[in-house]
This record gives sequence, structure tokens and C-alpha cells, in this order.
Amino acid sequence: MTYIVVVNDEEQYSIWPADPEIPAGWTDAQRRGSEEECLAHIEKVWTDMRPRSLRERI
Amino acid sequence: MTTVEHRWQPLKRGNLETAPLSYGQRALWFLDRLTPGTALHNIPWVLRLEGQVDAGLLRECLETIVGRHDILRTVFTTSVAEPYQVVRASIAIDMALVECPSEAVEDLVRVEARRPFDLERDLPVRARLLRWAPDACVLLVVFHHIACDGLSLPVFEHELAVLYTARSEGRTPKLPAPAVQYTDYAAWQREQDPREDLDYWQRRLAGAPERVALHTDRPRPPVRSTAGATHAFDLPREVSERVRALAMTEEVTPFVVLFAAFAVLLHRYTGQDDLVIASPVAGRDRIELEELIGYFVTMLPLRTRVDGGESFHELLAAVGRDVMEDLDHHRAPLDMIADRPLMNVAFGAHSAHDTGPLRLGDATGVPRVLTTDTAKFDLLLSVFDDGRHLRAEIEYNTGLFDATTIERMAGHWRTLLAAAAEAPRTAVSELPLLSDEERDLTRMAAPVSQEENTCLHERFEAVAALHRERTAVEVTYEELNTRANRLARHLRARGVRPGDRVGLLLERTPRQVEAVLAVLKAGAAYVPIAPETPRDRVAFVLADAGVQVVVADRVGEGVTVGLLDEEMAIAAHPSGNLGLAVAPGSTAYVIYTSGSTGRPKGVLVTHANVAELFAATEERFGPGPDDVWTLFHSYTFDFSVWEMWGALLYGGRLVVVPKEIARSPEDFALLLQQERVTCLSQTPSAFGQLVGLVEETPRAFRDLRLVVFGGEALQPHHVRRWFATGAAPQARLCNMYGITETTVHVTAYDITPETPFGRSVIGRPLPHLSVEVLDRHGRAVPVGVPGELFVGGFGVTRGYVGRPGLTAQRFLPDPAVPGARRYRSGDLVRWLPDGNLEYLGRIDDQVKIRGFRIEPGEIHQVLADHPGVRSCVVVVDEGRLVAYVVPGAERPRTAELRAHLADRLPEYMVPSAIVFLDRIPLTANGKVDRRALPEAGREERAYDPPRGPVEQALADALSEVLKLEWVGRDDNFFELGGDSVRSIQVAGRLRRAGYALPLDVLFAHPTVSSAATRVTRAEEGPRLEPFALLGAGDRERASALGDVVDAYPMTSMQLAMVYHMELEPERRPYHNVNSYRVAAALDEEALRRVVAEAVERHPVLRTSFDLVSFGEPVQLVHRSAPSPLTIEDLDGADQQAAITELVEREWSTPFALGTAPLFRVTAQRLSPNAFQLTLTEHHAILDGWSFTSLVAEILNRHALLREHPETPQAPPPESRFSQFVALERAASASAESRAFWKERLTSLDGTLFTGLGTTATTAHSIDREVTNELSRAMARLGAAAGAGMKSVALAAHLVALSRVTGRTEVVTGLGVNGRVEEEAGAEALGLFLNTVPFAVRLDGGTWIDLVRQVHRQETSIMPHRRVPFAALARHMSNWNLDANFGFNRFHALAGVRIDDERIGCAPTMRYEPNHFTLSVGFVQDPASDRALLIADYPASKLPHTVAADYADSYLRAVHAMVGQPYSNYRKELR
Repeated sequence: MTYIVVVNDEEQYSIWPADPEIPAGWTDAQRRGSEEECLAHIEKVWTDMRPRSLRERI
Repeated sequence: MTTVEHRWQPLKRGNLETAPLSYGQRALWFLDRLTPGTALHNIPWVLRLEGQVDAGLLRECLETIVGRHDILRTVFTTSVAEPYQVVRASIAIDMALVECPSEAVEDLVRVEARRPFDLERDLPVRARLLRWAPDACVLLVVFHHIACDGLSLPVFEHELAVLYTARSEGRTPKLPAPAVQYTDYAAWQREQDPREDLDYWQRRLAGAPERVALHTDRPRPPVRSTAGATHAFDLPREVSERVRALAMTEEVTPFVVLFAAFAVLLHRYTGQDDLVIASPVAGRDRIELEELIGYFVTMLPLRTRVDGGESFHELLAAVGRDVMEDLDHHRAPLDMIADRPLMNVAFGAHSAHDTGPLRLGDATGVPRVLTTDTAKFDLLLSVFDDGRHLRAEIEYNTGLFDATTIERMAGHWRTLLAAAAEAPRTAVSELPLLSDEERDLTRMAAPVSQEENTCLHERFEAVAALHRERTAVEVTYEELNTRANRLARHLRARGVRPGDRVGLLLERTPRQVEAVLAVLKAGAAYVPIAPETPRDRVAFVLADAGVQVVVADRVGEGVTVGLLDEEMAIAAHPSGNLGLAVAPGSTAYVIYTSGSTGRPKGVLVTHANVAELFAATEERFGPGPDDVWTLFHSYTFDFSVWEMWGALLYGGRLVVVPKEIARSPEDFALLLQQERVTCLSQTPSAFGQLVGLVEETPRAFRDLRLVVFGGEALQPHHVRRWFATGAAPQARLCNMYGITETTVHVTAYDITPETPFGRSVIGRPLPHLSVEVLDRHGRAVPVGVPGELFVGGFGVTRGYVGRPGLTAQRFLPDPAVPGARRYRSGDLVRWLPDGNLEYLGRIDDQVKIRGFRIEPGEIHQVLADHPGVRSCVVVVDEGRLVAYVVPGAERPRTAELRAHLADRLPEYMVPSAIVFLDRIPLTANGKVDRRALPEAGREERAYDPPRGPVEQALADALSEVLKLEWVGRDDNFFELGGDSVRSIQVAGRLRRAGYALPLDVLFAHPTVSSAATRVTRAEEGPRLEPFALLGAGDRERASALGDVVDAYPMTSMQLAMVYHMELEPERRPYHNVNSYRVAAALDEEALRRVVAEAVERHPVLRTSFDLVSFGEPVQLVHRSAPSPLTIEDLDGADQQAAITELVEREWSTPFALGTAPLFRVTAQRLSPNAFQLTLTEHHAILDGWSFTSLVAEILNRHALLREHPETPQAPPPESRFSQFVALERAASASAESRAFWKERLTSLDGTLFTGLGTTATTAHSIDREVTNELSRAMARLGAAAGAGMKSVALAAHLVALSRVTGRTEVVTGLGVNGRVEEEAGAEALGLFLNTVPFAVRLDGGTWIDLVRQVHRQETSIMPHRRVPFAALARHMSNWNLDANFGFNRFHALAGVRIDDERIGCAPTMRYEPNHFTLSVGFVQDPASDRALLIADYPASKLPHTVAADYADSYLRAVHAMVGQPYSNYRKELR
């Protein structure tokens, strides 16, 4: 099964099956692959796990 | 395409009175025998008639139909080999006219419809005419399925209408006679070679799952019940039309469309991508069968792969292809397929016959078939197509499913079918299932947020200001707030800044609460760690969470602040609130949970998350300043968050429960009373202990108003028992399901004594959350179907500290709320029809054994119901089930608990190990501490080392497989942790060591010492457990007989002998009497002992026969049987006359088959040095070899005991007769053997003597001695031909037969020995004989060639020699065999001498008749090379001259062949 990496406004990352439409509020982070590959990618890019709103408030 | 059409020939009318059963009938017959006395196979046809009906005429018409269709007057009998059908001549039908009030009709019909048939005695059809008014009646005709099927009914209806109407109008009905009869069909089918079809199915079903693993509403009972019900429903017209249109476009039949939709439904229900669904095939693909009543239908196992990704269109193509090919092989004897799936789910599509009114003369009515409230399958979906509409019904097992479940399922299938037919290009995983109501039921209201803008500590500060003087935690709110403020400042002084994480390493005291508040006030998050945590884990958590500051009770290594040591310094800080700006979205705490990978993961929970939880539950629970909460749980478990803030956010009092008290139910109960606790939170495990305590020492908790459960699955029995104690009737019980990742609680379900809590109901989600239950494709599952729980809403936490990958994997986009995430729980739940959720367990814990889904919770519940169980836990450990039990006052025995479980649960759900504990270990969080559960190893027991090589080998195998250092002889496989998988491994190790262990042995005999007695050398046949060869029903009945220790079916030969005995009661052809003159002193005492020992040693001597009480004729081995010995003195009198009189008397006294032993011994003292030994036996228990073995045993032991009375009894034989029974059955079932014989025997005729009498009367016997010299010459000739002496003796027999009959094609029966080993030392007695037809064409050639030819043929027969004659005879042109030949070498008798001038072991007087026209025995003398040729023949069937001619010809042939082996034998033939 193929997944894509998605990200929301809070810059929280997740994965979603490649075929169905991406749910509202999420954007394609331009990475597709197996679940494992997608998670490995997220492991690299999602360095500050605080939601964007919180980060900005502090 | 390979089809039957290639071999098509018209069926011939054979006017058969008897026939074998068709494969379908045979399978049905066995099923009928398995569930005797049920209406499972009844087809009740009813016709409510309006108008006058002439009952006499009706009977006449029914009888005409019975006359036209032989099958309707057929009974089913067990024969020698297998069941067969017998067509009776009489057409009289069991029909009664019942005049009754109209209100009684329904009941009478129901009773009559369900009355079972006795297929052996009753015709498979009966009728009742129930009349309540001159012009109103109901005609009920009940058929047994074995004689009828769905397509038979239109035939029946048509004939009934034609016959009745014509006759009532005085016309002669015109109905052509059926072209063939069912017996013709059955005989034809059984003549076809099944191999190709069998191979096909064997390939097709290789590796198929055993069943469709549907989630049932109730656990499967240990014995399948047949109680069922039917739910009927219609398909909308437009769906019917669309299905037909789609079938047309896709070039498949509507069946394929309907079936594929059902397969998709099952896939969506179970997640299985490989399904085997049974489907009936009409089986009437021959034109002659169309107008016939009978059972032609076959249930085909249709295997279908559905992975979810394919479109419905693609699935149709695949299913269409498979079904076409499967149908080509529909005639296979499916009951012979090895490892056939169980086929628990079935689907059928039928064209509904015209359901218009049926006219019988002046009366009309609409016929229909009644339900009998039975179910042959777990689930059977049938669709009926009347050409316009599709109508469907689901027959289901009511022991497994609720009606509402089935109704919903019907709806799902309808929805799915409509959608698939509409849009066949849709992926099957995307096809909708849910009804509108279900969508409403499971549709979530959007989660509600209270949009809390204040942090927890800020809310606390406000509450503290309001309730200044009230007690918070031992101290007042004012004081607690002051202390926390000071500590917060202290922490800031130590460098803590907002956004930091502070480690807490504190004992459970009020200081803990203070520290939590202080950390939050400092703007940081607390990371709770239990002080007893191992150093490594502490270090891991601190590093993982990025903790800089650690607060402990005392200063120590790695501790930043020691609360007790720095009390003074802390108290020096100012006391006011700090007022730091902290965002509600900041982390409040980080709680670590253990991960599946073993690496703990820290869950980041914010102030807002917790605030939303309380906002969402406030209304429900109404917490207030008068409440007293316990802090029962460790602060490392988020249940503590609920407890702490439940008090502190509402002005309530929090009672910190010290660890020691939390672990002692006694002390804790006291605390609840003394502190007047109102709100209690409990894990079910802790609650269970409290319930146990209150049951033993009753007490009341008067202030308790709320008990909240969480942390694990709540057990219904705890709840039941709690209410029963009456300890706090006013307290409200609420079951809450929660996950740390979504902040403490997710769902809530209120329990009252009135709301039954029969399963683990967790209720509905809290208002700030949403839940969804999804299948593996991410689609919502329907009500009742298990799926994974996903949780969205405002409790969803930030994720895992430092684990972006894991967080992304578990926190997924929530399509319902833009940009929001939902948490994938890994928990299995299902919707209940009332909109509540039921918790089913962790997905990771779902174990499947043989296709069954195991629910440890169900097992737990059953186990807990045992009165000796106080509490228990069932866990899945490395794929096996282990039960941990805390016994009540009296500790039950393991075997007792196992039996309790086995009585209530199917075998696969019985834990492989039961371990007793004093208490269930709980974690600091109050949940069952799985890691602290002891290994399901062994209980302490003195080590008794294995004895002997077999026990040693078994113990070694067990210790290797179960990874134990040592295993003693008393150790129990289950207690050591064994299970079915491990038993296979044990058997494997043993096989390598040269031993064979049947797989079921370890289950029935789990200790090393007991199992070892059932281990055999690997090359021998398998050991059989008692009763193993009987069907389940018979097994149960036989083992219930008090004195019966084993039972197994009779062999064909035994049945044949019994049959011939019944047939010729005067001649008693298998009632043998042998009498020997023994040259030895008779020691009465010794002989009594010997005979009694023999009865004890040999099961056959304790065996009786029962032909009628079981599903098949059975032999029963009794625990003991009386010694059948008589001893008398013949002093002086005419001894010979007395002996003759005894022999005559013995011969004329038959055995009662039902009484063991079926043999008798009489010893007559003739002189001080001689006695006469006379043995009488029913031949069906002993073959000649066994008989002489027995004589030898008696005489040898008698001699030995006379000299050495202290000699111990010999051990029983190692082998058993039942093994042969098993082998014979296997041979009968072997397709290879059947084909072998069929090729050889087709149209063979065993008749040699014609024009002779047919009634056998008194047997005569003629014999000839074969001298030492001649016998040795025969042995030499055999060796020269590369054969054995038997081939030489048999060749002479064939030549002699040819000579006396003048035939060159000679057929004889050949006695073959079916023993596994021919010459072993300690073998069983029994009737191991079979007779196989042996045919030779004597075209001339050398003698030595003839011997070789005979030998080759003997050798080729060997592997197939156990197929019983009765099965072979079917292939022959008639069942007769005139001649028979047996070659015997019997036991040597040591220490005794039998006075017989001719041969050492032949009796002085013998009476051994048989039913052959000429039965020849070639008997070798064990003491010399001599042999004796004995020919038995009934005088009425064969003239003495012919017999004498045979004997002379035999010796001539022997002389000729040994004299000139290279001469042509043709000279000896006439």
C-alpha cells in the first residue's frame, strides 16, 4: 500500500493512503512511498513537534 | 474444459432393488447419523386447500407417486461395507386424516414437520391431511432430504395435481413413467472414476482456511447445535433488475453476481481475504433426471479470494471463472477430500418454482415449504428468483447469532449488492454496507469544546481562593496553594522555565500533589516516575523527555531538589501565586506507556486536554466541594489525573492512598469507610479484589456515590457480584474506556442493577470526543462487526515525545474535522445495536487458532463462573492461552477447571495452562501486571525421573520443545505449558527419535508416564485412542456404557460372517468348534488362570457385537468378561461318545452376539496324563492364525503354570485389532485402491460351478496330506521362481480348479491377512482376514512362469488387500465367489503334544463351515515340513466326487510342477 506524507496548519505531520483524496486541512508534503518510507521521512523532517500556534505564542 | 459430457452415456434403467448411496446421499446419511432424531433434514411441504378434498383419492394419488418414484419407498440400511438403499415393493404411504379444530392445525403441522425419520425403517415421505371444515384443510407432506431436494418439489406438485384432478374427474391421468430411477443414478455415479475430480478439489482447496471466522453474538458451544431460524427479505425490484443487467454485461450468471456480493460482505465482516463458501449445485445436469424426485444437490466448497482492492467487476470475472470450473467437477465425492474446510457458511441461488395456486380437483391452494427451525450451517443465504423478483432468506444458527444481527446483515448485503450492481467499477472495500439507521447510530456529533482558556493550576488557584478553609489534601486549599507557590519559586530558582519538563520521583504522599501543582505553576510539565523504577528506566525517561530538573523526596544522585531536605529553603519563598503566562496548549504532563517494541513512549498531554475532559464530564458526574476522592492510582498512570483534578478543580477533598493500603483490599475498604469517600476510581482488577473482600466480610460504604472503572476491560461477573453484596446500593457505577493518548477517558457507560452488563460495554464517547470503528480498509464497520477504534476530538494529545514517526503513524488525519487528527487505538470494538460500544480486546492480542478468533475475555468469564475461582486472568502468551487463577476457600483441581472450561467452550478456547496464584499481581497503576505473572511453567513437585527409553525420549522431547531443563515422569504436558501446536512439535521430535505419538494422546494423557504407554515405534501403525473410530454421536453413546472400555466399527468380514450366520441359522457357517486331545495332565487351577488371563489380555475375547444401537454396526470391548471355561471328568465312561456329544452340543449352541465372550472352552479329563480341549468360537472374533495362537497360548501357559505356578501374567499384546479396523477403513476410502480393483474386477464372475444346488447344508470336508518331501520340493520351486511357497500352493489350486471345472479363466477368493506385521512377537488376536478375488487366465506356459505370474499378481494386490470384499464385489458381474483359498502356517506348540496322527495342530474333531462352495486351506505343520490340504464344501452344493477330484488334481499338479517345472502346465488342464 502506498502512502503520502501530509502536514496540517499546525505543522503536524501524518500519513494518508495515496489514493483517496487528502482530508481537508491537510496538504501533501510531497513524499510518497510505503508506510515505512513515509514514517522515516517524517522522522527526519518533523524536528520541532510543538504545534505551530504554541511555538509562535512562546 | 473437461466435462462429464465427454463421457456422456444415457443412464440405463436397471430395475435395481438395491444400490449404493450416491455421494451426496452418503454424506447426508452420515450427517443424519451424527445428529439422529432431529428434523435437520426434513422438508415439510404444506398446502392449505380451499374446497372439498377426497382423502381416499388423495392417498391413492400419493401412493401412485410413491410407486412412480422408487426413491420414495426406499429405506437405508448399513451393509457390510457401507450404507446402501433398498427399494421396497409396497407403495403404502404413512398418511393420516386428522379432523381437528382450526386452531390446532398450526401446532399439529409444526409437530409433524419436525418429527424425525428413521431412515432404516420409515419411508422417506409421510403425509397428513388436517381438516377442520368440509372445505378447508391442510395437506402436509414431509420428505426426508435424502429422497428429495428443492427441484423435486415441482415434480411432485405437478404429478399430484395431474393425478388428483384427472381421477376426480373420472379420467385416466396421463403421466409417462420415469425413464430411470434414483438407484440407476446412484449406481451410475458410483461407477464413475472419482480420481480426476478429487484431484481437482484437492488442488483447489489446498491451504484454504478452515472456516469463515464470523464474529458471533455468543461463544461457540462445545458441541454444535442445530437450532436455527430463518430471516426472509425481499430485494427491491430495481436491484433485481440491475443484478440481471449486470450479469448480462459481465457475461456471468446472476448467481455469480449475488455470490460475489455475499463474498464481499463476508470479507468486509471478517477481514478474511480467502473464503470458502458452500454452495448447492442442483446436480440434475442429465436430461433423464429432470423429472425425478430425489436428492441430487451437492454442496460445493467455492473458494474465493477477495483482497478489497479489486473492483467488483474484476471480482465477478474471477468468481465467474472459478465457479465454471468448480461446477465441472461437481460430481466429486466431496466427503473424501482430505482437509476439507468446514464450510460453515453457505450461499445458494435458486429459481423459485411457480408459486401460483395448485389445483387438486375442486380445491386449490398455494404450496410452500415450512421452516423446521434448524440450521445446517452457521449461516446460509439463499436467493430465489421467480423470473421477476429476487427474494432472499438467511437461515442461521440461533446458538451463535441474534435475530437482529442477521436482520442487519441482510440489510448490509442488500445495500452492498445495490451499490455494486450500480457501480461495478468500485473497489469492493469501498462499497457501502451501512443502513441509514446505522449511519445515524454511529454518526458522531461533532466534538464539543469548552474552549478553556485557563491552565489547570490557574483553575486550581481560583478554586483555592473560593474554598480557602476546606481540606484539599490533608491540608487546606489555602495551605496547599501556598506550599505549591513556594515550591514553584524554588523550582524557578533551580532553573525551571515555562516549556520545560520536570522529573518527579516521589512517593505517594500529599507532597506529590504539591509538586505537580508547583511544576505547573512554574510553567513546566511534570514527568512522573515511580521511586521504585529501575535506574536504567529512570535514566531513559529523563533523557527521552529532556528533563533537566528532578524533584525527589530526598536528595540523591541525579536529584535536583530533595523536598524533605530542602524544606527550609522552600518555605523561605514568597507564598503568592506566580501568575506566569502559560498557554493552555502547553504540555501539562508526560506519561510514559510501554510500547509494543519494548521502548516506552512519553505521551504529551496539555492543560487544554485535561480541561476539556472535565468540562465534558462535569454535567454527568457533578463533582463538588462535598466530594471525597481517593488518589488510589500511581501518578504514572493517568487515572490519577482524573482523581486528582476531580477533587482539586471542584473544592473536593483528595485522600492520598498509600501504596501499602492500595494493595491491601482490607485496609483500603477500611479507608473508604473512615474517610467517607464519595468518588472512587478503580481498575476492574482492583475492584475484583474489593468485591471478593466484601463478599467474605460484608460491609457498607454509605458515602460512596460514584465508582468509575477504567484501565482495563470490566468483567460482568464483578459487577453482578458487587450488586449482590449490597455494599453501596446508592453508588453509581460507570464503566469508562480510556487511552492515555486521548486523555484518560474516552467513553462512558452507566451501569445499574437494572441494566444488564452481560458483556464489556463501554458506552458512548464523551462529548468532547468522536469515535469511529473502522475495518482494515479504513471503512466504517456496521453494527455488530468488530473493527478498530479511532478517537478524534479535543482529548487527542500532542503525540509522543521525540517520536515524530510513531506519532505520525498513530495520530492520523481526521477527515471529519479539517486539519484535526484522530488517534488509532489498536483496540478492537464493535457497535451494539443500542449505540453503545463493546470492547473486544487489543488487536495485537487477537489470536486465531484454526481460523477461530480467540477472545480471552470470554474465557475469563467462563472461568470466573466456577465457584472455586475467586478471580482470574487469561492471557495470550506467545500464541498460547494461559489462565491464572486465584482460588476461593477451596482450591479446585486443575482437571476440574479444565473440564469446566471444556464443557462450556470449544476446545480451541481452553487454556493450555492453568496456574494458581495467591493474588493477581497488579501494577502500580492497578492493572494486571502481566510481566509479574509467573511463567506458566510448572508447579513445584518432586522430580521423579523418566523410566525406560520411551519415557526418556518423551521427556527429552518435552523439555526441548517447552524449553525446560528437565521433565519428570509425572509432569503434565499442559501444566508445563503445552498446547496443540507444541504437541505437534513434540511428536516431531519423537519421530526423529524413532517413536510415533498420535497427536491427541498428549491431550487425553498429558503426563509423561501415561502418554509413554501410548507411544509406539515409529514404523508401526498409529495407536488409536479408545472409541476413536466411531462418529461423535456413537462415541458418546458407547463411552457412556458403563463397562465398555473401547468400541469400533465392525469390519466388512465380520459383518459378512454375522450376516451369513443370520442367513443360514441351521448351518451356522461361522460357528467353529475344534477339539484337541492333549497328551498332558490337566491342572484345573492352572487352566482356570490361563483362560481368565487370556480373556484379560485379549480385547477380542471381551468383545460383543451390536448391530442396531449405533449409527453403524459396532463391536464393544468390555472391561471384563466372565471366563468361559468348563471342566469335567470323563472317568471310565465312553469317552469318545462324551467328546462327540460335547462337540455336537457346542455346535448346536449359538452365541448371543451381544454377550462377551464369543468363545467357550471345555476341558475334559480323559486320564491322569491326557485331556480333551474343546474350543468353540464365533469366527468373527478370531481368524485361523489368531485361533491357533490362542490355543497355543492356552496350552503353553497351562504347561508353564503347572510347573511354575508363580509365573507372572504376560503383558497384553502391543498391537490391537482396532488398528486393523482403522486400516480397513482407510483402504476402503483410498481412491487409488478403488481404481486398482475396479480395473481388475469389472465384470468378473466368480461362479465356477453351475447347475448345482444353491442351499448350503451340512458341511463336508476332505483332506490330503502333503508329505515332508513334497512340501520341501514346493518350497524349492518357489525359491527358484523368486516367489514364496504360497505362490506355488496357490498356482496348484488354480490349476486344480481349472481341471475340475474345465475353465481356462479361473476365479478364486484368496484369503489375505490384513495385519500390519506378519511375524511379530506380541500381536493382537482378531479377525484380520479379507478375501480378495484372484483371477488368472490359464493360457499355457511353463509351471515356473505360472508361479511367477501368480506371485506378481499377489504382490500387486498387497497394497490394496485391505479393501473389504463387499466393496470389491460391487465391481463384479455378480457377487458370488465359488472357490476360496487360504494358506496358513500356524503356531508351534511347545511343551505339549496334541495327539493327532496327521498334523501337529489340527484338531481331532473340527467343525468349521463357511459359505463358499469350495473352500480350500493349505495348512503347514509348524513342527515339520508337512502340510495338509483341507477342502470344505457343503454337500448340497458340491458333489463329493467333484471335491475329491479337486483334491486329487491338486496333488497331481503339485507333483507335476515340482517334477518338471519347465514343462507346459497345459497338459494338466483338461
